[in-house]
Amino acid sequence: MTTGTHSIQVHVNGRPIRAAVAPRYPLSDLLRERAGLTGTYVGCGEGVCGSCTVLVDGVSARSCLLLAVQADGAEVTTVEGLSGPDGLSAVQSALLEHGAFQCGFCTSGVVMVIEELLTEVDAGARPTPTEVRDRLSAILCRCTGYGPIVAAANACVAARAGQETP
Amino acid sequence: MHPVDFSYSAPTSVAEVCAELSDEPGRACLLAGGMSLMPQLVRRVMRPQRLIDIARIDSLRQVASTGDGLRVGAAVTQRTLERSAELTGYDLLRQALPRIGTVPTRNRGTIGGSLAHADPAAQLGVCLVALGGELVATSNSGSRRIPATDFFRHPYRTALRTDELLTEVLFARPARGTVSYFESVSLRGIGDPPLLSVALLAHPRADAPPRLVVGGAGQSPTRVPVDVTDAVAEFLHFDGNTRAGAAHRRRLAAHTVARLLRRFREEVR
Repeated sequence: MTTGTHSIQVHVNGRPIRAAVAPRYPLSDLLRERAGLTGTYVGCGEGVCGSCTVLVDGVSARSCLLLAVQADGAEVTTVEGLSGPDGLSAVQSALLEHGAFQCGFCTSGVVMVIEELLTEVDAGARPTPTEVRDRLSAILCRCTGYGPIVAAANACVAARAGQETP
Repeated sequence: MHPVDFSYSAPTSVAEVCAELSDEPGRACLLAGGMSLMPQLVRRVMRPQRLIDIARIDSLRQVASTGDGLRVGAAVTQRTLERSAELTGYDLLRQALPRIGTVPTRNRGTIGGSLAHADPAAQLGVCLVALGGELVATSNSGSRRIPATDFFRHPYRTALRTDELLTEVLFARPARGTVSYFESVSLRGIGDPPLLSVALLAHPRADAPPRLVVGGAGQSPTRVPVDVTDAVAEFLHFDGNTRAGAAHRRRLAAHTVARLLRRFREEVR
C-alpha cells in the first residue's frame, strides 16, 4: 500500500514552513530537520520526558507525539522564537540567573511550559507554588536539578503577576 | 522510534469518518489527540494501516451543560473541559481532570480518546461509571446510545464496534448537594500514570450508602460495596506489572476506599 506524502504548511516562529511529509513524520523532526531549528530536543521520543515541548497555537504540546500532518495550518513556537534582538527572553534570563541547568537537555521544554504558564498569568491566573511545581512536572530533568528550575519558575510568575519574589 | 508507515486522512464530517471506517474495517485507527495512540505507534505496539484524524471535526468539539447532564463531544480536549464554565455542578470531573497526565498532554488528549482507549486505571472512565450517563456511537448505519455501565467490557476493550466512531459522551448530572471525592494513586504523583483511580459520590441527606467506583490495571471501572476493607479482594481483580503487583494494588484500593469513606464520615456525616 502506498501511503504517499502530504503537503503541509506550518508557521514556525512566524515563518511559513512548507513541506511534503509522510504521515508518520513527527512535528519534532519537521522542526529539527526541515526547519533547521535544533533547539527543540527529542529525549524519549514517546511523550514521557517533555524535552521536545513546543507551543502549538499558543499551548504546550509534545512535538514527538504530534504528527507533522496534524500541525498543518498551526502556529508553532519553539525556543528559537522567544529570544528577540534584545537577547534572551525573561524566562530564559530567569533560568540563567538561577543556574537552572545542568546538562541543559530538558531546558527548552522547561522554557516552553513556563511561557505557557505566564500567558495564563497575563490572563489573570495566580498559580500557587504547588501549582507551579505541578506544571513543571510535565518536564523530566534527568540531572534532577529541579530546585533551581522551580525557583526560577516561581520568580517568573511573581514578576509577571507584579508581586515581589517571595 | 518512528511509527510504521500508514496512510492518513483528516475528514471534516462524521459521515466521512463513518464511510472510511466501513471501507476498511479493522484496518483504520481513529486519531484524536493521540496522547494514548501515539506512544503505542512509536513503540510499534500498534501498526495500523490508516489513521483517520477526527480532531478537525467541529461537531465533535462542543460542550453543553443540560438539565440531565454534561454533553461532551468526543474530540473536546481534556484541558478545554477542565477550563470550561460548563463544569459547574460536576465536582468529580473538576477534581479528576487536572489529574490526567500533564498540561501538555491534556492540551491535546481528548475526552472521547481517553474513554475509547479504556485504560482501566484512567481517571475519566472511573468518573463516567461513577456519575453514570451514556455514550453515542455513530456508524454508517446510524447512531446508538450505550449506557455508561455497559461501555467498558475489559481493560482496553469497549462496546464500540470497529465501524463505529464515539461521537459524544453524556455525564449524568449528580443530584444537588452531592459530595464528590476523587483520588488517583500513582508512584510519582502528578503526571505519572495512575496505578488506580477511585471515585466516591454520596448525598449527605440520603439514606443510600455512598457510591464507590474503582479501576486499575486488569480491573475495569466497577462499583464496590461500601463496607469493603480487606474484603475488597473479593470484588477487585487487578493484574500485576512492573509498576505494582496485583496484591499491592488490592491493598492500595482498600486503603484508598477506606480513606475516602473516613473523609466522608468526618466532613459530612
